[in-house]
Amino acid sequence: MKKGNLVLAAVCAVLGVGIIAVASGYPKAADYGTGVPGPGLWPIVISIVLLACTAILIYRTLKMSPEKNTKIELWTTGTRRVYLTMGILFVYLLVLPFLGFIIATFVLELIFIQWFAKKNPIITAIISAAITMVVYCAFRFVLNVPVHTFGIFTI
Amino acid sequence: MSLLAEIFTTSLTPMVFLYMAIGVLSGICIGALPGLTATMGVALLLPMTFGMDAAQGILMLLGIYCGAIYGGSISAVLLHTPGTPASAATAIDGYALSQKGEAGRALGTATLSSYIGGLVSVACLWLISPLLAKLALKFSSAEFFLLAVFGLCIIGNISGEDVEKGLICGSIGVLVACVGIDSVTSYIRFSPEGNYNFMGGINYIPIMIGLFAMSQAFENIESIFEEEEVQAKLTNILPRKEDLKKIIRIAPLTGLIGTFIGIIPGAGADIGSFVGYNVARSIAKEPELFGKGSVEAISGPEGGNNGVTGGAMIPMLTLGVPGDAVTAIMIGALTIQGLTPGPMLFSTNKVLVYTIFLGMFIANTLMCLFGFAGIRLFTKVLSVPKVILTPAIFVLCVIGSYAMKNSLFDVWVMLIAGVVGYFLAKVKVPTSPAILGLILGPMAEKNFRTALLKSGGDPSVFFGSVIAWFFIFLIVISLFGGKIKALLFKKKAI
Amino acid sequence: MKKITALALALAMALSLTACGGGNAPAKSTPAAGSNNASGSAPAGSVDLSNLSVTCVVPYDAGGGTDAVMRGLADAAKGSFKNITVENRSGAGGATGMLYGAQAKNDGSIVTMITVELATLEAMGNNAGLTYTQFKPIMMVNSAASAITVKADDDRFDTLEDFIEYSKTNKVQVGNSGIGAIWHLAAAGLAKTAGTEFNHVGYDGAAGAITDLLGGHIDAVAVSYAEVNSFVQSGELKVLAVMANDRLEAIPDVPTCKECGYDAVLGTWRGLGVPANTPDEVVDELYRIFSEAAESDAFKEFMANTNNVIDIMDGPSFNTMIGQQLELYTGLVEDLGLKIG
Repeated sequence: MKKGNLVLAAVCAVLGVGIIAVASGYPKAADYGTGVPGPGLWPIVISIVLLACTAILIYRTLKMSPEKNTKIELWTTGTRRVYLTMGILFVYLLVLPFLGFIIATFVLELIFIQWFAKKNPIITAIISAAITMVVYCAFRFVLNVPVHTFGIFTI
Repeated sequence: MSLLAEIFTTSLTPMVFLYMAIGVLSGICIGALPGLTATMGVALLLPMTFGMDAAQGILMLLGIYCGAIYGGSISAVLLHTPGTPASAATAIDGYALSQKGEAGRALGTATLSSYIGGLVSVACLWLISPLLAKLALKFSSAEFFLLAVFGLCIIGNISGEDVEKGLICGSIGVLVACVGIDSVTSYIRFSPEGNYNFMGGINYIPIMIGLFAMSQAFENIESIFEEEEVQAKLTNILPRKEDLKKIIRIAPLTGLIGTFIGIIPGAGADIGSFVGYNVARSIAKEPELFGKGSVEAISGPEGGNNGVTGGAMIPMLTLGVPGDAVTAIMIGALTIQGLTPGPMLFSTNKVLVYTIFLGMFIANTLMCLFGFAGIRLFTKVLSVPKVILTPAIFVLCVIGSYAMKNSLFDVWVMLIAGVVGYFLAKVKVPTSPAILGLILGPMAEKNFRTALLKSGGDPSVFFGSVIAWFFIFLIVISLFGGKIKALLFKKKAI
Repeated sequence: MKKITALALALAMALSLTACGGGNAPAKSTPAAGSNNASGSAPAGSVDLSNLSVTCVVPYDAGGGTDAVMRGLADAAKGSFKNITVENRSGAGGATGMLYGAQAKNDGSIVTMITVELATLEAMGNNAGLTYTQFKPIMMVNSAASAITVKADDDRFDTLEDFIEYSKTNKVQVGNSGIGAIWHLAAAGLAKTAGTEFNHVGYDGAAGAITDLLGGHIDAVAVSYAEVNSFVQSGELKVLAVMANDRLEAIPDVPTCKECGYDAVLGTWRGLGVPANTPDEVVDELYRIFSEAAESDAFKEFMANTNNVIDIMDGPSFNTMIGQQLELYTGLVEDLGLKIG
């Protein structure tokens, strides 16, 4: 927990300082001459709130009682599975514009369901096809969402 | 009495009932699907009303509206995926109850509270709409700013134990909302040169889908091969006596508050539900249960968001000013029929106006009936094995975030939000404050600066009206209410 | 909140009460019912598009005014193609959808609704690479002029001259639908012509500006007459002048700015466009089909019901007009100091 909090604090600190640095380069109120704060003020104010909270977080983390300091497991079989899932989805989004919704989604479902459910591949294929087609038809025809406009296979 | 007879003979025909039923049902489905909001549902089905007469068309749209605002709670409870932003607050406790195997209880509470909230708002619409309409005009930039700040104060109450973590998350939400063209000066902020995806600002619906649904799905993956211990028991669909007591205590009040939020142009069901949650927490019998699966915490936001529906109709019908995005589309629907909403409508089309009032009451009742009748059906979702449900959720997340703007960029935003949300949950950072920040941050900033623009830089505008002071009072109470209460009780003890 | 902006902006248009020019039948039939007999007539151009599936891209949200006009027109033209669908691609003030349409296939299968933002976005510099030369305009479909509107019980202003004179010595707050949006530029254009200055207050859509005017928080709005029509009818607001070439049919007593001596003709317009490299014969055939559709009774009635003004202009003159508008708005934006980057 301690480590996790400190990593979070570090990320927030970088973010806050970075935004203040960028936003202070934005035009000031005087540039507009209307007495209205410029575009940089609000992000700076919020970043200060963010930094203040980060400081409180660091303080409270350092004073944290040992029993509250539960360990965060980031490298177990479970989490590794999550990272792999994230990776698969990332690849899916990369190929989606080229393969089109139907093919890419069918393959995605096939991979996941076969991996998780370990059923007969034919049953997996049927379930995957069903999910893909139900979602596709509902959005394409009932809700009129153009899910067919990209990819090699456009119907 | 003759008016009532006229309504039933001329405009409230069986056909209208059928259209309303279709509207409510499709509304519930649209609301339950993540990424499809009430606004989208009404906009998508609007062309269907072109061929109907005015009463049929507007009542079908109303059915969709009420149904969608309620429908969002179904997926919020069952899948931790608010179907619409209006159910983001419901997801917190609804899902917690669902995990205890009490999905039926959570859904029953949501349904009944939505109904009560809807009824309260229809009553307001019917009885005092001309009076309330005047209130909408009193709101200007300064009041909007203070309303938004009050809304942001709610972060403290939905953050659980570590308030600073909630505030961190909320601040990040506000900062993300800053990306794109600044609406006061049209200066482009935090956006790569020439990238129009960033320029228009980052849409918060994909972020919401990512933070709630996607990160939840990732978490399910962690234990995907473990036996599911919690099977949803379908007891208590109809709320138990003690739950009923809590709902009756909370839902009418948050419904009333939701109505007022609805009246204010520019504040919609999403804000109504968060304010409802906050109010419920402050008057709850068991505030310590909030976040762990409390009936009161579901009743509050659900009463609040459905309260908005009637409230938003008030300025639309009486002033011709839309109370939120959905009613803005409804104005379009009415004008296509050759009717102009506004003060004239009450005198020239009295029958239609009262048909709308009565129809809204009926639409809410239909929503409640469908809701209770469907709970068994809805909860069947939970009996779908996780190994199949989770991959299906992935697809729904992808297509839901694409559907909003038909943009693949939004799908990337969703996936990144999902990954960030997963790690935030690991360090016990609550994610709902980010949604609050995304919705209210731009509202606060824009109105703060517009108010100063109008006053020529004079900050006294923020203290210039009764409404402004009312909100300042609320802000102080919500920030320091606990301490004041403690102080008072101490004095009494001595 | 952004959605609301876009909606309100679009609604602005849908609200307009100005009657449409043609002799439209007053009978209350549904707009969707008529006009599917267009397929009967043989194509006049050298290409036959009757087997083409056409997608019409609307760069704004569904349910708004631009969306309504496109859907009405698509409905009137549906007999001339294999099928025709309307698709909403909103974002970045319209740039997202228009960029998509400009980069689409050039066989006429993707027709984009191009709006005044095609000129204003580029003038503002937030066009993300979008420019009007990426399009070959087919035709202009409709237009609406800006109307200077104040509270009906505001004794300070009875005429536009009162308003302009007052603004020279006092600060007047003029509301618009968004900074850099067309109504902002229209108000600024009037101020420039009249040699005065307004304090421009931007809202997320015209509805917010009108609400604030009704509540007495600002002095005037410069949105389209369509958007304020219901309040003018109920006697809460009054229009001082319209920035059109001719007086509006709905309010024949209200003068144009030109008549008052301020040569400002500013407003919004919508039309259809295809990618610039589309073959001319395809464009000609599309013009034939869509202008026929735009003159059909069904479309006329639809536009009258939604209070939009049909204003047809052929492709080449439309193209010239967009070029002139870009120049005009570029000058205005520079004067206002709004240019980005």
